[in-house]
Amino acid sequence: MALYKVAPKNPYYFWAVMSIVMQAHMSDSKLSCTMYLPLAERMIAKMVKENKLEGEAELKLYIMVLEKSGKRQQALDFVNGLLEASFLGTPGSRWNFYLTKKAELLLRMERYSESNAIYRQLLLDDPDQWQYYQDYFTSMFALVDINWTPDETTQSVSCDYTVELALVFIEQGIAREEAKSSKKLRGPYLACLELLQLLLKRNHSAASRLASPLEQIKQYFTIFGDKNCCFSDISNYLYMLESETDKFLADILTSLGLNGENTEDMLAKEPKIMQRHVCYLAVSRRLGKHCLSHQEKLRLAEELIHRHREGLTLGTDLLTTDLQYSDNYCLLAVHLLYDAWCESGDQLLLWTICALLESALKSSPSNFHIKLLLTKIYSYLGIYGPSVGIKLELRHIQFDTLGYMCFHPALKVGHYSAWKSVLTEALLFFSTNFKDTSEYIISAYKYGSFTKVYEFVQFRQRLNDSLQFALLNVEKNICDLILETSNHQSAEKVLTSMDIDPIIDECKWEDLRDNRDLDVMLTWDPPHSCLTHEQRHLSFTEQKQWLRLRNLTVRALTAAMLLPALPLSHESTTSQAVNGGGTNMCDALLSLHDQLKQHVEELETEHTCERRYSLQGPFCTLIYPFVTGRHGALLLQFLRVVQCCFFLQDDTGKLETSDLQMLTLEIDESMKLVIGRVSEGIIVEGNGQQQFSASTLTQAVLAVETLSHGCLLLGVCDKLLQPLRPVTGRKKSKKKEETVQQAVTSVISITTVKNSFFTRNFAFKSSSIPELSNVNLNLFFYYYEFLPCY
Amino acid sequence: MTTLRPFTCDDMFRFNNVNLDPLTETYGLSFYMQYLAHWPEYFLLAEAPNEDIMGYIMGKSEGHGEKWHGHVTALTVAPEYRRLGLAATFMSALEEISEKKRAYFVDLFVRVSNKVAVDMYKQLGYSVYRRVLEYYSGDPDEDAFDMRKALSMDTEGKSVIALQHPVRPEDVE
Repeated sequence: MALYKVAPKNPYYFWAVMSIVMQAHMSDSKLSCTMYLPLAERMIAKMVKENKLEGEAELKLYIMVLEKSGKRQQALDFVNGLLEASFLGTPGSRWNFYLTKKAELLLRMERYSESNAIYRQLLLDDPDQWQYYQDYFTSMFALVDINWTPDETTQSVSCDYTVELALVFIEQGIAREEAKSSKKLRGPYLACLELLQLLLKRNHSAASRLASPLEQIKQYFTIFGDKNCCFSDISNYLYMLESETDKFLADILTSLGLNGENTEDMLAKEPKIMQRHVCYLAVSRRLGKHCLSHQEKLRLAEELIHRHREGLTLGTDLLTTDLQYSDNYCLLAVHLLYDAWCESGDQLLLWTICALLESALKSSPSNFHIKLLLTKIYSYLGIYGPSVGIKLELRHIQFDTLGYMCFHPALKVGHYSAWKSVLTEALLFFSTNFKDTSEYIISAYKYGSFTKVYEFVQFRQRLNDSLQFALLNVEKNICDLILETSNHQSAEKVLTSMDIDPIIDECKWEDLRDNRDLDVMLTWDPPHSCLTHEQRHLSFTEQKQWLRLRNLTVRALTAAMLLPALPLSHESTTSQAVNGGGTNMCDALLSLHDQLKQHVEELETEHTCERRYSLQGPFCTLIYPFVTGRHGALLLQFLRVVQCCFFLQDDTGKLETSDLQMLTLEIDESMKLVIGRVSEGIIVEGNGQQQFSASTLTQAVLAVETLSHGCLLLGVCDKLLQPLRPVTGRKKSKKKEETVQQAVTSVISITTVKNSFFTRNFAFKSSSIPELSNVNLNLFFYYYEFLPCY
Repeated sequence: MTTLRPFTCDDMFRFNNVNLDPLTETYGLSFYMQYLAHWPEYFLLAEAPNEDIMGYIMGKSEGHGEKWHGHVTALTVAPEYRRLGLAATFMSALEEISEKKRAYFVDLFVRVSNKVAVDMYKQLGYSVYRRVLEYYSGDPDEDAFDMRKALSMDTEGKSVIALQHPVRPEDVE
């Protein structure tokens, strides 16, 4: 405002207004409604009165402030008072802010007849705008429900206030398209289907006036069946076919002419017919017709693979940046084989899928659906190496939305170097978010794009609160603890540099946002098999549970590391201060131990089997292998050893001799279980053949992590016991001497067991996949001779 | 059937079905936000009835005097929503907004190897104004066509008279 007083230019004035609006957004609703918004409104109203508003952004800001204050009538009066030419969209234009804003305000104010009239006019100018149809139907049905009829004053308003009028309007729209010789618009046809759906839901008799679902969907397929979007356009209406499903499919198949006896006649000779056939198959799958017997699935998959291979001949002139016409045959076949694998567990089917997709990718290197599927299937098999060759090439914000496609497969099989490089790149994106976006909040002010200011602030917050960001931070800490530490000193250095607060949990659990894009992969499944809203929520909860587990682990390790070893003299004030700090950290360690224990118990209760989401859905976390592998129990035992060693420094006798002995035995038992799971071997018998056991590999990864943490904690014990060892030479209590001796013995025995594990399994941990899975590779080569990474 | 509306920041969380296409680059946040802050009217998106993002266009206006023009920075349509005339719809929107701003012409750069796009723009009334050597960096670098369409302010069509010789990127304003 000071700037404005010096040089009265609109931008300076509106910067002040926008700042007040932002304060309104950030405050509670009472304060924003009673103070900030009215102030902003008065400031702009002053400019309006003096006729000083200049740009479209300033007009829109005023409308936004009025709307947020609930003053829709005033907003409407203001818009009405403006020239249509004030806004960039010209009259009759599809981005006509003037009309669309009016219609929107009227709808919210429940002035349905006026709103309907505007949407009707907008649709006459642009019959392909879906949002207009939705609002047109909403306003029409609202008028019907209140039995609205025009009176003298409203007769000039041309709105459709009955179902009959709406029917006529929609039918006229279709008639106009039918009369065209040029490209038809999908809007009027889909609007007719939508109206039919709405009428059927209301059990309205007028539904019978429209063509039946069978006729309408067939008509839509006839006109638009060669477009890729046909399936997604009609899929939500297919349920209306009900008992006529089989007739619909039979009629469509007949119209394609591809069910000849001759194998040559079976194949589509042109891309457009092929696309129609693919649409037919997709619809067929959506209607549940691919729920076949095992043999029938395999037979149909084989037919689709044949169609895919033959179909490639139609696409020889396509560029490498194009998708092949027949690619979706391959994807449909893969979905069938995946279904067959879900039922039978025959791993050979997964290998077949990989071979098919690799081959298809060679012909269609830009098809990202193939790449995503391959990454998924390789991960199910417990393989990561070939995924690198797929080159999904995520950039910037895709680390948040699609990062899960890379992070989980790498972590699951312990490809730490690949994992670390992806982690580093992704974290760099998140950490520069704040700096990047702040600059553009300022730009939005500068250029007067006021509505963008709030949007940018919300966007920045959404990225900052990303679950993926929180997970990556904690996983980086754990990755560094495993890879960057070779002795206790380096472990101490690494942990202290991470600046983790063991006492205060800095994670804002309530604000976490799930920004994963779980809709990117193609699916033609029936609605009940698709990823549901509940499953998305379940996956989000599961990810948060995993995050909490890692969060508690890292904080507990930090608390243990920060436990001070007491000096020999207990009488000095320095030691009392240290003792005070030590007590805090010990309390923190105790609390974290208890929280971790409770969390592990909850996970054990909830995760009683491996979760599996739909093929297009997210990966599950490593919670199930973690709890079944007893890693939680082992970690807790190590933490208790540290606590015991700390109590030894205390003369109050909190420690009983038997405590450490018990712990040593428990740890011994747990280590045997952990080693036992790893020693099961990665080649197991299943379905009468040898199969690669991805779960054993995951157990090995978790074992490496748990034992790595164990090493760190034993290092802490060593540090805690160091000052006490000379005690044995002095005249201290014999009991204390024995306890310390036993503690030292226990720690040594734990270390010995751990060392033996590493000796036996070091080759396992550090070997590359080809060495480990030689047996299984023979099976793979049988199907796919030229996998480049081998 | 589309909903044409302004692009918002939240759309960046959902545009993978468009951006995973090899010819579509995913830029850093600053790139998108610069356009949203400065030229939000040119940053439009088309949404399908099932809420999929079908495609989007990014543009700007720049230049002085008779060189004041609209520019198409990026135009992309998801593979499953191609051949629906969406690119033409986007271009028409950008031209309309540029007309309103009294621009003289609209221009864009396209890889010389992108035959499909070049033919499409020609059908929409664009012509090659000049060739810019090694405009796109890569292995190897690739030339670009600078294609233009005159708007009503350019009554004599001066802005689209093709240059006789190619230029280098540093010659482009």
